Amino acid sequence: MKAISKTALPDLFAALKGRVYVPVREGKGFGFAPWDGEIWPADYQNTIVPPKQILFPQTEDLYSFRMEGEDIAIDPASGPEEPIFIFGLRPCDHKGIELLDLVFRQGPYLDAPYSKRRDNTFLMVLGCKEGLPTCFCTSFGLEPAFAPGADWNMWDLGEVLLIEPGTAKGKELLDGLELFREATEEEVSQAKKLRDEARETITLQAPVEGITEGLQENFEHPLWEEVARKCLECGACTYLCPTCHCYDLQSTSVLGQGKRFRCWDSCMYCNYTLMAGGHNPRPTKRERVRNRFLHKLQYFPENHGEFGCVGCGRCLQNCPVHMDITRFMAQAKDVMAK
Amino acid sequence: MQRITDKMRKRAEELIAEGKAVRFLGWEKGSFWWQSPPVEIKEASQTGRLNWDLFCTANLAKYLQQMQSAEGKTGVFVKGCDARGINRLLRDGAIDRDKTYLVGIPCPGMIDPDKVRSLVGDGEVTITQTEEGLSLQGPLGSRKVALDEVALDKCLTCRHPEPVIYDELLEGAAREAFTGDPYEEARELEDLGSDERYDYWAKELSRCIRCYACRNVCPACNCIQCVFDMDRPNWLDGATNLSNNQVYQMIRFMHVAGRCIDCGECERACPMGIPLRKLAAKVDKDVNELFGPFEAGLDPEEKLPLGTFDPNDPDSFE
Amino acid sequence: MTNELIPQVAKVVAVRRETSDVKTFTFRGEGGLPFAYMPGQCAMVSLPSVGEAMFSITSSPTQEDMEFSIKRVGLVTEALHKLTLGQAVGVRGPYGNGFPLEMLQGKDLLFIGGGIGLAPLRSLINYCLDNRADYGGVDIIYGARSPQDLVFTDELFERWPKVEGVQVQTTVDVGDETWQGPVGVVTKLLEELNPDPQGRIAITCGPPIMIKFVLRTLAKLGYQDDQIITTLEKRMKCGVGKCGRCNIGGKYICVDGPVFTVAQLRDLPDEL
Repeated sequence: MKAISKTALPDLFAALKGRVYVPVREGKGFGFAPWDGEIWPADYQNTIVPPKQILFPQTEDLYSFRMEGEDIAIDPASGPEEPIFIFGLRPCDHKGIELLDLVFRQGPYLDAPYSKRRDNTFLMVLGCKEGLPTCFCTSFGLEPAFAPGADWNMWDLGEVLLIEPGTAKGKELLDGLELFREATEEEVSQAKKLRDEARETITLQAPVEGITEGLQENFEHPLWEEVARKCLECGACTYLCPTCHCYDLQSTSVLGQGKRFRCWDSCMYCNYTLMAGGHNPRPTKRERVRNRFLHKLQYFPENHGEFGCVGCGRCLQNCPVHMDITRFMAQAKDVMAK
Repeated sequence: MQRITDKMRKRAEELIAEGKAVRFLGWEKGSFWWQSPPVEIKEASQTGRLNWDLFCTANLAKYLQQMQSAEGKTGVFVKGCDARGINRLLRDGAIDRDKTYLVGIPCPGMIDPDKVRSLVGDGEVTITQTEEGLSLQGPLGSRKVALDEVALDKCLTCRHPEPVIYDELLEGAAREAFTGDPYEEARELEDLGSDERYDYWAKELSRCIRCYACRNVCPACNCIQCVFDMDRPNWLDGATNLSNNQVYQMIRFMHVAGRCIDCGECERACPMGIPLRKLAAKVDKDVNELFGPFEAGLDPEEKLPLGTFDPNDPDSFE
Repeated sequence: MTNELIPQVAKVVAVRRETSDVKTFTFRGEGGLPFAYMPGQCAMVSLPSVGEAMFSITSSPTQEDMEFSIKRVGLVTEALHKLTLGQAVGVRGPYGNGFPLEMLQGKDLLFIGGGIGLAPLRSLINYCLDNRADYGGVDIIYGARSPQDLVFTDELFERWPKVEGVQVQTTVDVGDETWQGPVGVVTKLLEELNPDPQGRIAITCGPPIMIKFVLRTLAKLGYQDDQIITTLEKRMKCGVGKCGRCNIGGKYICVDGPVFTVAQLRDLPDEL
């Protein structure tokens, strides 16, 4: 384990060859932004928008086109080239990226822009000292102050950051820069204590045991209608979710010249599944809310063997009418028991 | 608070039993201290879920539209801003007065959770009402404050904390109605130079993620199909960029011009913390100066300033 | 790494009007066929300034060209209907699983199509007829709203019936003075024909309401769920199982489908 003084962080950022994203104040909260010479804020707990937006931007050009007589000229957008360093993401968001990897970098098709970016991304996870009341990462087997498989895990000990590499790439970078010293035994035990204590601060629990199997049996249960009742069908929960990956493909053009891009889309929106002939397989918010919860708790586990929720609590925090997935899970468990 | 909660539960139970309402819309205690989300009560036996506290911020008027196709009357508890929301919807013919039963609650003003957090932290927070105000307890300590120190900004300038339409009114103390200048912030922004003002809004609106939470909570956004959900024609594509975000917010605020009741739900719902009430205030100020004085949502049959033609309307495009 | 979401450019080399709202287009890429495919697979066809939509490939891979039969129902299809010879379109694919050819080999086949639902079936029908020895008897039952709504009439009335062991029956919901064939829904024909389920696979595609009644009739005639195949349609954007919208339960129609046996559909939630 190595240590670096927080005052030396600008040197670290400057030494990294690529674009460094750090959490900065944004509106009433925090967000990731390219490092511009300012030091990162120490008191942030998590960003409003998860770092998925760095690897899977909300809007991204795919190609530009030009109608030339009867012909179409297509010019692919230049892909991401620069290496990306995300400094200070939380373990839940690290897991969120691992889950996006399952969608975008696996299966018969790779998502080229995401995969290219991801292959060139270095994740520097900062352990949480303390969870928010809305955090429930431990329910999904996560640790608030440690992300298995992260390039770096870091712990904030006040004056210094402790760093432990978790990948070969992580070790190489740590060994290759002369900004670090060996951590003292005292510091190592402090980090361990921080890690243990952080776990205890996560008080919210979601009942995950058997939820997938239970939901499989209850697709038509009246609970769905009840749960969906107060939903206003905005996209806040999905856009702020570190694992939601739905997107739309759209074009914009003037006089036969334009570009095609992709942008985030939400299964909560009324026309998301609406077909050209007018048929909509998910016509009301009952079906749409059901799809969102089932995608996290049933479909994702069926397809990937893992829950599609990391317990970051963003949806609980930002839903205008306080829809609460943990409460839903508890209700669903009650229903299943009957 | 408890007294009003008890009364709410009792009245809802009675009204459902008497058949005056088939269901009731109110608030229940949420998962956290700062949450009192909307709830729909369908049986007299469930009325114990109803709860009144200083977090019953959500405007319930919005839900009446989805209740229109349901059988029977819907009972609704209304604060000042809910009541104005209902007048709005009535004025637009979006809901049927005969299908609603309104129980008014004089509103003391609602709490801004962020203001409480900044004083006593988050987590285990308890808020108790005292003679003088509120006693806050949280991980960072205890504080005694006046409600106004932690109230939502929109409540501080609320001109109608008493419901303006109801079938019956619960007894209770409303906050004092605001009589000052509602456009102070709008004026401050106007006083900036146009470049500065542009930069201010560009910075704020560049954060918009177009989740449409502001639109979907808004009791003045009652279109059956919103222009932003249309494919043919597609007025605005889905790309989030400053230009598109500006178009979205400008169209929305111009569309609610003269109909916005300043319930502040857009700003509360915005996850990105965009100060949407300031945009609303500027539009409302202009409507008032050009066609006013006018306050939306005070009367279900009000003449809308932008919905009524008057040959004497100012014509500044000369 | 190629970006699967970027189409290649193909040209319209033939346009055939099938009905008042269905046209069949033949597309050819720079090197001929834009890409290899199997019956039942789909492709994204685009006009970049308008949009992109998923269509089943109507032609059989045994044919030289790639064909799509497109019904005019929305923005993209309306624009596609205005295409003329020589114009360029974008195409990408093939997507989806296609029909389970191994399962069909050596079997008698019963095709039941309705309206434009004959488009994906046509790919398989022509494939089977071009590999005639690999399959047993072929029965085709097709229905449309009116004689004017029948697609692929040349094949229905001329080509297919002439092939040995192939029987074609066509019906319309409402006839007219020119129509001399049967009048009524396809299920009526199906019941009259009553093809023996033994050693036979039924493949059906058409409007949801037709499929519902066809499945009911097939069950009555003794067909098991794993003997019936259908192909589904959903709103799609990516075609590669990532954009999210075409799922039924955990299955994405664009990669896990569009072809399913009824037995497979029984395991999925009812969200068609």
